[in-house]
Amino acid sequence: MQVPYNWLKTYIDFPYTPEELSHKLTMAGLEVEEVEYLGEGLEDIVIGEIAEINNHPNADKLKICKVNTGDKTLQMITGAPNIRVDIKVPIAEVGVALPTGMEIEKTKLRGEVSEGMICSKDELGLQEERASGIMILPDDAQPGQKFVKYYGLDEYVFHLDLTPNYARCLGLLGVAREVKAMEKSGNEINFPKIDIEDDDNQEIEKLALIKIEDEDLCPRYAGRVIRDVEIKPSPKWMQRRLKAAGIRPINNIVDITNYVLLEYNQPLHAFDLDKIKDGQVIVRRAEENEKVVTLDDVERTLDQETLVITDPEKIIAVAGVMGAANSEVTQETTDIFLEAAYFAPTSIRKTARKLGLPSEASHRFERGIDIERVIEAGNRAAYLMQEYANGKVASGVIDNYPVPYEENIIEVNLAKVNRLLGIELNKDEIEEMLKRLEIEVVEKKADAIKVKAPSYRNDIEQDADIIEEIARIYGYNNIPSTVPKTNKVGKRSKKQKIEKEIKNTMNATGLDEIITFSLTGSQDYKDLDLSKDHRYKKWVSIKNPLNEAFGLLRTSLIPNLIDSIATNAKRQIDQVRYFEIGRVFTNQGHKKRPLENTKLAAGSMGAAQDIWQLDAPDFYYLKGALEKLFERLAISQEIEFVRGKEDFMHPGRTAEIKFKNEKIGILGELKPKIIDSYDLKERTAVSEIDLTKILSEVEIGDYLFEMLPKYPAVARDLAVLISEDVPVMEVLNLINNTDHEILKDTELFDIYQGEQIPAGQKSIAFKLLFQAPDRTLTDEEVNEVFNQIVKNLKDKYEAEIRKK
Amino acid sequence: MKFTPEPRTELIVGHFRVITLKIQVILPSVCGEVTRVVPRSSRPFLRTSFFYAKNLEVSKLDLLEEIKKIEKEVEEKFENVKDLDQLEDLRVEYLGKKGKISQIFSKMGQVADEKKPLVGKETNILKNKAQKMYEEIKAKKEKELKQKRLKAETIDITLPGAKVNVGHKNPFTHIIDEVVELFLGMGFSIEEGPEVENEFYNFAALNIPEDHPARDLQDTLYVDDEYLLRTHTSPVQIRTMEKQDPPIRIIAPGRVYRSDELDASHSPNFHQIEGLVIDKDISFSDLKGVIAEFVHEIYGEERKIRFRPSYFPFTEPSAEVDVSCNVCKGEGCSFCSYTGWVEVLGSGMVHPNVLRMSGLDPDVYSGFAFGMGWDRIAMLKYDIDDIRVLYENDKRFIHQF
Repeated sequence: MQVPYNWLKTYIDFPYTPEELSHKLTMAGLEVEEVEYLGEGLEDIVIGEIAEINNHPNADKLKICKVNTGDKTLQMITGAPNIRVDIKVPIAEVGVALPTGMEIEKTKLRGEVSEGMICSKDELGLQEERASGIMILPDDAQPGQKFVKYYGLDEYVFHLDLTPNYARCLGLLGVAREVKAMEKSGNEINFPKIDIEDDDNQEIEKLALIKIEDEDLCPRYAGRVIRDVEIKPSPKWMQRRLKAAGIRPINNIVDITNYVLLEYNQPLHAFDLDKIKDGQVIVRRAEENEKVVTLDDVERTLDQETLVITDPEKIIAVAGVMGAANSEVTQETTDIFLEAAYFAPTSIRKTARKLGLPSEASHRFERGIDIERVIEAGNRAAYLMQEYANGKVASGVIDNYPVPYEENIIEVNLAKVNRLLGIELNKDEIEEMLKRLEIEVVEKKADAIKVKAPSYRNDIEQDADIIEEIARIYGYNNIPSTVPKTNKVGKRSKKQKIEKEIKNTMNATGLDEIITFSLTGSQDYKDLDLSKDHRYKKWVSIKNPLNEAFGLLRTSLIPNLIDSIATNAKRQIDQVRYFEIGRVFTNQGHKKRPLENTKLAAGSMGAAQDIWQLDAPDFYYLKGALEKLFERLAISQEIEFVRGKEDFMHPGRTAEIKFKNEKIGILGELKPKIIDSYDLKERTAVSEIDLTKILSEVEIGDYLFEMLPKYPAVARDLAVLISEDVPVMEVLNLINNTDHEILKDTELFDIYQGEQIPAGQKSIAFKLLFQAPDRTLTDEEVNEVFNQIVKNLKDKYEAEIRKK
Repeated sequence: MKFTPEPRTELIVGHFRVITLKIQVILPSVCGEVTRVVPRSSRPFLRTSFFYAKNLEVSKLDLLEEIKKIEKEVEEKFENVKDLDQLEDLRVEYLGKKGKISQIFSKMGQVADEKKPLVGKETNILKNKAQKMYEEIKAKKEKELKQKRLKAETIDITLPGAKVNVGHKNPFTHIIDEVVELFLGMGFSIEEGPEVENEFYNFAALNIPEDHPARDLQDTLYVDDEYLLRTHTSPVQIRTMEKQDPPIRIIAPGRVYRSDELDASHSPNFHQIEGLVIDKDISFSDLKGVIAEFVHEIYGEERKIRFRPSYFPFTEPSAEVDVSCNVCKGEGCSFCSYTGWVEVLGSGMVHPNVLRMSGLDPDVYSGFAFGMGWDRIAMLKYDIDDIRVLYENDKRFIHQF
């Protein structure tokens, strides 16, 4: 809604400057998005009158003009072909800047002084294309007058962003009422003039007939007839106001309906009466697949949900949305049937959406208009047609009002008002505030009042709405601030604590946290080279996606993770360690709630340290981070890494992660094809873990102290030659499962293949730490276990102890 | 009898090797020279050697002169000692068991009896003096050595430190950690809800009927006829009221979805933080108080706050909350559209229809709710002008937090 300041002022007088009004409207709940000054940049342009024209002595095409600017006469040079004596023109004097940025200077043009510039329309920014000559103003323009004043540009326009409950303010009178309520004794509203000279020779009943067939969708339909109208442009002031309000002028009849729409928030429609067969107007639901060509010359197919206005033969309008081309007011029109109606908001909303035809009218109907002022608005328009289209208004109004307005009496408990707002108001104060809003107190009780809201307040349904009005008038910012007492203790849930621990640990192990969109596209998954029925393909598709790239909900964090790493790789950042915790969604079938699981994904590119010299730095870095995580969550004992398989991972460098023997995730290096297609650095590794089981089964912070050892430990190195096929974990398990009580820790510290190692074998070296809680170990004790370990390794793997 | 091994001379005379040793001390008062003559025969039995001594004399000495001489030597040599090795040599030379000072004592026998006490005393003084000098110089030299070593170990402390890889928190996490800490302190707990919702929780239960213009406020993404992507975190209000009786104090952070094209200020996927308080006697004042705590904690104590009427279907009265613009300090600038204020959250008293639908009597219970854009908080707080940068995950961006 665009509200021109001066226009608004014609309905109510108020002392506020545009800036003050803007603030007050915003604080009243009518958010002002922007205040536009129409004459922006033209403030210094004045009107001049050409008093004298002489030829330029040194240039054939230039004229020397004496221009009267009210209090002085200036000399200006122009080459405009349409210059004449006595015409009124816009003048930019020396020192004035034009909207184009050009500043007028005192110059000499071929030897003759020019003290200003006579402007063309495009120079004033009033039209885009280059004008052929200067702008000539009508004769009533006064020399010396400010151009913006004369031309109607001295106007501030408030762009209001109105919420649905302020529908009443989609008309200027509604805004005027809000202005009135701003002060305890605000000025009264000047309602627009309606002074119809009824043409008694023509009674409307003889000219038209209205029949409502579907009153549920049309509780009120009224009509007036205006005859012998003269179709012409509407008056300049009306055109300017419409333009300021953002509506394009068309002709006097259409402009008047729009003008009244902006005044009363009542959409009107003017039909060419001659094109309505027998003057019979029927309001009914459309038939299934009934067709109509609307004003915009598009054929529309309707259904039974749509309300239409018809005559006995054809549809003449889609009710409240758009008229039909067949009954449009044209240059030849003489008689008008003027519709003023109230249509059911829901129906209009559905129709406008279905047809993709939002309009000024449908926007208002779907928010609900003032059903009680339908006739008044119609009369106002009829009056304006009488005045500005020389029409004769047929006497009488047809008012078909099958579902009359019901008053809503609301009881408001005074204690509740104060309790809910945290203030202390008495009955009189409340009554005074409500009176400003035209909310009438119809009954007073000891502890409550009964009130009746005006018919234009369709947003008021119950006491809470009245309480809001009281708060609004009282001023939100006058209400004190308090902090409510409580005996509740704020806590994180177990799940939230674990998630926080995971995030902290991931950070501590060097991974940055990322957040990616959970709305993603299938292309991201195609790039992963997934097999036909891969579990990632059980995604949830969006029925009405914005575009392909946001067409589904992610089933995995991996695609976006890779994407984020790739973004960095593209920007020459070659070392990236990322993790994300987020939900993924799995399709459970049509109309079934998708499964939402929380997952952890981690990725590493360009890790520096290649701990085992296997050219797998990122894999082992991520593995280390995850191992640390499992340690922090105290589940290391229940975690296993076993050889795994994944479509987008390197077949020889993929691990499956198991928690309590159940697969919860994968870890692996991306396969070369993926690395290439994303332009990642070689060896980039990723992991994804479903946190569901961890979040439900882990006990966080459940630590138990174990006595620190009192006796010294004995360390022994064990290096063995073993077949290269044997996984280190198996060897470790074998060592750790040796029957003993004194082996406290086994740590792999070296793995080697190459020179001095027979082909097909590898050397692995462990540091074994022996310790007893109650005594210092003897060499014999340690040797016994050590030898047993060596024997077991030999028995099972034919492993040979490696001589130094 | 004791020999000092050096100096010695060796001569080969015919079948004999003649080794001459200077004996400094044979007996306490005897000095002289001893010569050992060793046959050069290859036959072992013939290798028996014999000695002869000459110039032996027994003297009665006045050692005071010598003490002075040694004292002078000590003073000179100790003063000019170069390093600890040399000092140690000097110690052996003078203070060692066979050092020059000890030798004085061993020559005491040759001193006339009446002079013995004086010589003894002077020798002791000398010994103590030398000892003291030795210790002082040793300490000094050791100190010098330490200092020298420390000096040699000087490093360029302006060199950068070791690369310690600690991951960075995401800006979203920074924000929520702050927000959560604040609200936990005010007795709130944290609730979550599904991101895929149905019409009931997302709209109907929040007093947004079908075909109500309020639905235009949020363009919804649908999964099918039944399910949609929640357009706000407000469904968590309903879910909380369903499973929990008042008093209720929760915040609900989470992802939300709207059918908005991605640009600098819009994203189809963004985050909100919802808040809900339900109890007896909860007032608009309480709403203002809690919001003020939040705004001041997150945006700074100096920020001004204003509440202005607004509309949300699920609250009545509803209020939009603005804070004074941080860029222009309320003067008005392009960032705040020349209003001096920046919109930060929506709030209001829980609508009686919402309470009723959740089975609560609006005449008994009241409450307030608030919701804010989590992304927006980050953008306002960290001065981020493009929402996309939050989701792009450039490492250089994340490492700023």
